[in-house]
Amino acid sequence: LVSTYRGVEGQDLIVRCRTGDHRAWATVVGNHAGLVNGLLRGAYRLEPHDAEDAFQEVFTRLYLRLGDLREERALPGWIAQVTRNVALDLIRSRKRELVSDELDEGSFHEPEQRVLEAMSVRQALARLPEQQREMLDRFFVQDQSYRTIAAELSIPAGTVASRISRALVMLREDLREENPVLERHSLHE
Amino acid sequence: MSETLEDDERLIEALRLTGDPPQAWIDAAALIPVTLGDLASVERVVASEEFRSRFRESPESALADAGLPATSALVAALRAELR
Repeated sequence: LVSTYRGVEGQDLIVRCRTGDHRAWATVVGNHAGLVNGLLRGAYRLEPHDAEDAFQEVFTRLYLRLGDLREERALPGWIAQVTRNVALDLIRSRKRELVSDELDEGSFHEPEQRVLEAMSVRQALARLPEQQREMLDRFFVQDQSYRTIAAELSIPAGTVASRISRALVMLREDLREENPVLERHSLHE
Repeated sequence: MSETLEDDERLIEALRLTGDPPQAWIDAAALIPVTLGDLASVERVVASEEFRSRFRESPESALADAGLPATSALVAALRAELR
């Protein structure tokens, strides 16, 4: 499931979480919130209120299982698998309410892969300088307009446009350098 | 469509697909250790056969008696654990 997505690196985060370091736990949540949300909303198409419940359940299950996890590296795969289980349980229960057909789990494979590959782009975004990262996040993720960004940052709208354009170039270059195989498959197929 | 434009559209789709959820969700998940208490204590409770038996009969009261909050996320997570 997670052949193309590797988690954000962190030193001994799991160990620190196990010993009660709440900041380490908050880092784990922050590092994987986009993955869980992307799968719940983008791959499994859960409604927001179901996605919110599922999001909390995934991280509650992670907390209860911290003792079983040995490496930070294993986290994304574990979290993706648990997210899948939680989402499919929820979808099954909804289908039972509707007396609907059996769940076709295979139908989720392609959207799951799309989200996991997209996480590599998300990681590349995190590596960009703050100014470029902020531009792309505001415009494409938060859907803010040129005018809003320009007003909030006190810069001309034309500067916003040129910064977004430059940030996209940097993002493409970063992906090519970091993972040429992934970039070739995911962006040129 | 030029290759660059096509690439950009895929990048943009990827960014949108993996955006963070509302901050309130992240904040609530970050508070799980505070809400549930230290991990070793929770693990001891969950490992107890008496607790497991009581949880299967009445999740909410088993959790309350064990001093754990009967949140829907915890009930669902423990149901999955004990399945």
